[in-house]
Amino acid sequence: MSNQSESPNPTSSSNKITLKTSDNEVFEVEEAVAMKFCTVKQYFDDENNNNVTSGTSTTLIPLPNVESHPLAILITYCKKHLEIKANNADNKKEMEIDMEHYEREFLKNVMPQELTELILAANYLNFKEALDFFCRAVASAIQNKSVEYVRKFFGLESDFKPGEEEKLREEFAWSFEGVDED
Amino acid sequence: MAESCKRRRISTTKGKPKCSSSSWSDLPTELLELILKKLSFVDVIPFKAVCSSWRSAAAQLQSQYHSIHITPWLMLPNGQEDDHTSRCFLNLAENKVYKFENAFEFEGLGNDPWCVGSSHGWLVILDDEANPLVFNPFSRVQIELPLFPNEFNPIMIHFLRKKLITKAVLLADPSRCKNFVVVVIYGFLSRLAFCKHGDTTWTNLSDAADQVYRDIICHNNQLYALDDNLSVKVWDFQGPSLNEIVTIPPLTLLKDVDSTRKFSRDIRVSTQIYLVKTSSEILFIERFIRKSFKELSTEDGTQTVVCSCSTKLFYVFKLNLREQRWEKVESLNDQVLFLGGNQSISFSGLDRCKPNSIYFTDDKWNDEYDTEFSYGGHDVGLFNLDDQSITHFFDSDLEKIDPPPFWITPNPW
Repeated sequence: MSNQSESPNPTSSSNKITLKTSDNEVFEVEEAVAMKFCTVKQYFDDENNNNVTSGTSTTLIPLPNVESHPLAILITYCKKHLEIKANNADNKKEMEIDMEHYEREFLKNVMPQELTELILAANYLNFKEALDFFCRAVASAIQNKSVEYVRKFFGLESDFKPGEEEKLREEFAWSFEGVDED
Repeated sequence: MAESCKRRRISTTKGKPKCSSSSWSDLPTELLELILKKLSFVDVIPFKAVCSSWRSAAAQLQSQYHSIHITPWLMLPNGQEDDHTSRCFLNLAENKVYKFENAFEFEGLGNDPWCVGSSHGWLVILDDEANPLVFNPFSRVQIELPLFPNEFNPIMIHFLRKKLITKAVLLADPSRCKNFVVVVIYGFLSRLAFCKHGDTTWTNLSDAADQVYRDIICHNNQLYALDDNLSVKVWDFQGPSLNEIVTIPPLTLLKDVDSTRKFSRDIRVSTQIYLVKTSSEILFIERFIRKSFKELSTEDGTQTVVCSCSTKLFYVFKLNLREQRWEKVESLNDQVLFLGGNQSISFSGLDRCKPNSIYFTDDKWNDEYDTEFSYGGHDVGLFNLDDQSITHFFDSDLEKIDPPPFWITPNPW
């Protein structure tokens, strides 16, 4: 199965780059999209410097640490990101408004569990804007929430020695108050 | 950008993918830090209790915080009668109130601690017997200071301690500097004295010929003191011996402004003066406070008349060091000042605060006649230099806000 990238960005070159995920799915993406993934860009540059291949369109870049599910989401996000940037090239404020709107809509379709995958994938691909956005999303999801809520949200368990957590809670009792209902 | 791109290389070795599962417990500390960094410092504190890896990520992050980016909080009494050791803190940036039960219930602090200074998130406190000490209500660390000599009758000391030390500032943040210096304005003559952490006594800074001091601030190991004649003296604490390095003559320019003053002949108006160090200037601030009489209903239904203070206006002057004179300033631009009993502080482009403004709190509690009144401490607000307006961001049901409100920049690490 192969995922074709849609609606090519008119401002970018028509070169395609093929990415292969850990679960052996192949994604063909615009060069402009792939180049936002710094890890891919680095691999691509290294290959070119070594003159291993001449035709870029045939290059297949393996991504052994990324699964197809988060990659597909990241590609969608990246394409939209580039599109908004291109549409508002001369108006930074408009661009920020459009981006904010898109990101708000985007989060409505993302489950908390998916955010982990997305953060790990964005981090591995070194896609800075996405990493920043997903970290912001997680931060606002846990802001003003109880410790119990956060543990549940992340699927974490306390590994403190007896008394350690109580000591922290006692020492900073004021900061544990006034949080939202779980 | 290019450099950071080099950090990660794709390994083409075949095998099982390393981190394709989606468990948060596997989240590397650097990524956890990225998430926590998006929260305000105060939201991070409770998350130390999530698990040990979160605790270390938060601790790592906290070591990078610096108080210059944190909006000051307003320290207020708890509101319960006879509870002198609890406090409320109004977090101005988020308009949220935190309650610190027994914040001051600490051995050595006494039952009724009196605050005389606030610098770098640390308070200078006088205990019930007027012994000074340095205390951080956020980290709950206290540091002892040498006893301050006084000849007061022990029975009167609880009341008279408010005259013993009227303002204290710290030359450095005790969390980061072991040899911090405390400077105080003390006594009925408002003289200066200091001690270095570890000293066993206080040292006088002013001699007999000196003026009465009205405000002190510290910057870069230097002490700036404003006297009653409105001249400024600067001492350098950097070297092995203490040097008085410069004296800036009295504020001559004020006379010119005098004639245009709105309140020059209003006997109900008194002034409070402050020194402020901004990123590039030394400022002199004059605050005009009008006293009025206010009728209050007491519990038994009778009326009582109390004196109420309300700030009406501020004048701002900056120091022209070369010409040794003060010049009137019409705008602070994006700067925000915080004035009161604290060491005056200025910020540039502070989040969620109105730029070109002075946030002030009530510090008229040193007047002899005011201490007797059952009303006071309400003169808290913000003055905007653009339109010269006063806005109130805080309201209290208390008739007397005692101890009075204090600005403090949280510094819990």
